[in-house]
Amino acid sequence: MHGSALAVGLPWLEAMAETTSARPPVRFGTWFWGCGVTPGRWDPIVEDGQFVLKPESAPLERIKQHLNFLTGFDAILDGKPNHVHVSGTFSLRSGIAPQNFGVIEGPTFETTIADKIGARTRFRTIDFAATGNPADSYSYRSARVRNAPETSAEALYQRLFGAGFSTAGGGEFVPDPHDLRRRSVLSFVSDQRKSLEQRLGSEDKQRLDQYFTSVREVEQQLELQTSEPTVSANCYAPENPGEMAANYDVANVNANHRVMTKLLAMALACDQSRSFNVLFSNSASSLHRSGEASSHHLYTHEEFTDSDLGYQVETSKFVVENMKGWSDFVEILANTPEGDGTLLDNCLVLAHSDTSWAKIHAVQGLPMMTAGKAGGAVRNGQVISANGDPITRVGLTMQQLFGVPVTSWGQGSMETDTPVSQILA
Amino acid sequence: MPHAFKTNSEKAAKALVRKSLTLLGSVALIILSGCGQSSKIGDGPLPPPQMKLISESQYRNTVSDLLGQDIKVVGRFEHAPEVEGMAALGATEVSISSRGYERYYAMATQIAAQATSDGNWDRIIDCSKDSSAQFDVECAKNAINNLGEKLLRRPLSNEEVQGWLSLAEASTQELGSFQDAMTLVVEGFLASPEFLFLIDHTETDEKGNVRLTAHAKAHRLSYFLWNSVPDEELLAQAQSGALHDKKVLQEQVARMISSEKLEVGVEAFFEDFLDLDAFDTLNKDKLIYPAFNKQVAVDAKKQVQKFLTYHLLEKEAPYSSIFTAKETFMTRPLGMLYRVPVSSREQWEKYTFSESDPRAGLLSHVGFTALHSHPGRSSATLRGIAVRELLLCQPVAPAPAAVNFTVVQETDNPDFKTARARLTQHRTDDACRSCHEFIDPIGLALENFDGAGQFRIAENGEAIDASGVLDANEFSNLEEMQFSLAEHPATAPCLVEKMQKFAIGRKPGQIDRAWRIRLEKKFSKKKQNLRALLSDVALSEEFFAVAAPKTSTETQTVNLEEQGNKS
Repeated sequence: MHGSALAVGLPWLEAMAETTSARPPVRFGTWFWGCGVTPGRWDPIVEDGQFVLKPESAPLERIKQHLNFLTGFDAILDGKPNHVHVSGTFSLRSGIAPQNFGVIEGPTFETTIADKIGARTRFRTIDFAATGNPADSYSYRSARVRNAPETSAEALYQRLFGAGFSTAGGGEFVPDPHDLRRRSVLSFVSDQRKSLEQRLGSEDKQRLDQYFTSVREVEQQLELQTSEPTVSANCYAPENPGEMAANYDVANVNANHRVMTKLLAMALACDQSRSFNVLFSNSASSLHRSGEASSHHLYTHEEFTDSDLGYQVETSKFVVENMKGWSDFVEILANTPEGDGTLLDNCLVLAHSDTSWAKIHAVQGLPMMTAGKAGGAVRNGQVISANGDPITRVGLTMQQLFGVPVTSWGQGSMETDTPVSQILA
Repeated sequence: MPHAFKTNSEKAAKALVRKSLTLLGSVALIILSGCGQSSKIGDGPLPPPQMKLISESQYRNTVSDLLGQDIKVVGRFEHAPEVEGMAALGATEVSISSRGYERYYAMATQIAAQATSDGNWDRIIDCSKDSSAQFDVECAKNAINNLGEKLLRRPLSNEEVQGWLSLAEASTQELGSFQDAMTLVVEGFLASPEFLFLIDHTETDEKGNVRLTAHAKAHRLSYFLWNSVPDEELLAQAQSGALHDKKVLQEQVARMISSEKLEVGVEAFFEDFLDLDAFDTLNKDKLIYPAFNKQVAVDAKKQVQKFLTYHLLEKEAPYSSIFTAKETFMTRPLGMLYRVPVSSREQWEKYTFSESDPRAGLLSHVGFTALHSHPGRSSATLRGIAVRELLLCQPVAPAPAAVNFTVVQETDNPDFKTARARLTQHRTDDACRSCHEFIDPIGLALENFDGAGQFRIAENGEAIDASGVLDANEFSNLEEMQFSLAEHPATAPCLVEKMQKFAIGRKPGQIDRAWRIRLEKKFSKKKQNLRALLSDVALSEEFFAVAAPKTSTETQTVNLEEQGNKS
């Protein structure tokens, strides 16, 4: 199916998300893990309409009914270098294989979706990294503007449910007059734009544009804070989780990830945002088990392939850890009630990694999954085998599903106008 | 390194530039000829005005210097990415994300509330009478003029002052509190682009040449040398315009170089130069290295800064001496790792390693060895890369994607007990050899320090051999390797190159390349004295060089010129 054909299904999703207030909004998010999977030990098959999982995907058993597996999609580099742990993610997210290490050449596609669906919520996007490292984010507005994730449960709580969060309704709501005045001050600050632009060259003007876009989002938050909130039945302020250790120790990552996911789920239920980016482990996964000298990443390169078993045993254990994290994430969303169903029913989450086989930094067949039904627009239970199609088909599909007006996406051999229609309901 | 030959494409690009210049006529000619630049600046286009993201330390110092040391700044900052190895360059390319601005805005709210609280009102808002309820136009006007000039780094126009006054008056009426209204004014200043970015202002001098305003010059100087705002004296010289006078500038630079605040600026430089901000997210495995905790990470970073400022500023020793110096500073948590006694519970203590102690010089510090290691073990490769890239300004190519590292760190292989044995085996692979021969010998000289920087003599029961060759100079241990590094022809020029980039925050253009050669010669002639280098940078015409803002057409033309001049 091509982009034009897909357009038939789109107005329905858009209509549901934007205009039918009785139905919950539809959200989009990403979930990232580092260092991929072991070839042959992860990709499930479908038998009798059921997934048959492999050892590394076994932790997904309890949530498998919510998933699709997207296999065989390649980052096609067109002769550009394979920048290790970078080229795969950047190709998937921006549609362009990067020429230079670490320099992304366009915005990542989920930001265009966030702009499309998040314009009326308090936060354009909610991003967090369970690793505690603020550098762990792969969501970019441009080469020089990376979206900055929350790195602790406490900070995430304060942002979502601290000052500015209100569930007051039914005439009890009284806007803070300070916030009303703050809007005037920020508006005055924004009026400086023209005189500043005259002092700057064209590249700096773009940087200034981004700055004022960011100011505008804070203005919008103030606007929402000064008007009576629409609060859904399932929305309430959760407990403050307090300070928690945050680093690459897999036990801490798991604990942080679970707590932060619960906060995210409640923020989505309260319609604080319709877009999110979650990172369980970083690109070139630094996950490690306390007491061991090697991390997941170091194991992928240094561990011998077990001659009897035919795979890297310790590396594989870390893949399983990542999949347990994904399973937790999906389960928490699926256990959050919303309307007649669950929060997950009204989400679409794309999970992916930076490589397929990390041992050789392969970017062919990058492992990806979706979870959720996007309010009924997506069906689950599929294993898509793309046989080397450009990975950009996935980003195109997501953008079109959420109403971003793009008929063709990607650069060079990765330019595509063919969405992954098999997952559409 | 300058290349001796120009390629055909470079020649073609230059020809295209000449052609474009003819077509563009006088506008581009003015830019490329440097708007009447001083004769001391070499040929080449002048840089455009800058818009530089304020760094975390600059933000904190600015708030502390302008609003008071007791003001708490709590929040997370946007950090500029490194460009050509320096965050100072990234700061002139980056913008602020939405979430980042949310954080800056929250900080502005907290800071403004503290600055205008009852305890600080008299000092910051400076009104003679109690003005907490009624709108006081004179008080507000003075505060807006005074704080605006300092926080936005330029005098406000009458129109702007009027705008802020109107806001303050309306806020006073609506909130019923003049104090709250002034809090919002301070909040507004702190949320302004001109506070969060250091944005150049230019003007035309009496001869018709474009130059930085005196305020812009004062701020460029103070953020370079002090990593903070100008003090009252420097600001006064900017306000009067006297800073444009060469003699006044020299006096001010001399005063700033001899000020205690110079240490703050130099620490900021070394943080960028040596990637010391990586300590903020450095984690070590607590079971493998139980002595390495958060406090050790904080102290290890500070130790390197204190070591460097002591030798280079206080003792005014040559830069090369930092590779051999025995005097450093300790805290009790660091003493645990260094295994030396530290009597003071809280304070820093000066400590001199004995002549027989293998520790000496920058590279033997935990701030180097632990930073360039894995969480659970040392890494000769990471340390070798750090020396090449950070200290010698020699880039190392990334590892190829499809490479088998298996033998490198198979630490329980009975045939390859030490890192040297494993890396030697790894170098038999042709794909790996060229790079690893470039980096490994340096890193292997540091193998006597484990992943947390603790000294060891053996790995897996086998004595560590720290000998090797650094660019044709043989050494038998770390001390000799650091001696070679001190004498290495790339060492001092690398410091000059990084200092220049730190000062100007731009990728070096043609005028900067000629300038750097001049600075290198002076640095060598002045016995590698850091204060002299800072002074030479600050007093160079190129340090303040600026052209009029470029339009997009002109940008294209000048980029072509820069491309053609990559020689």
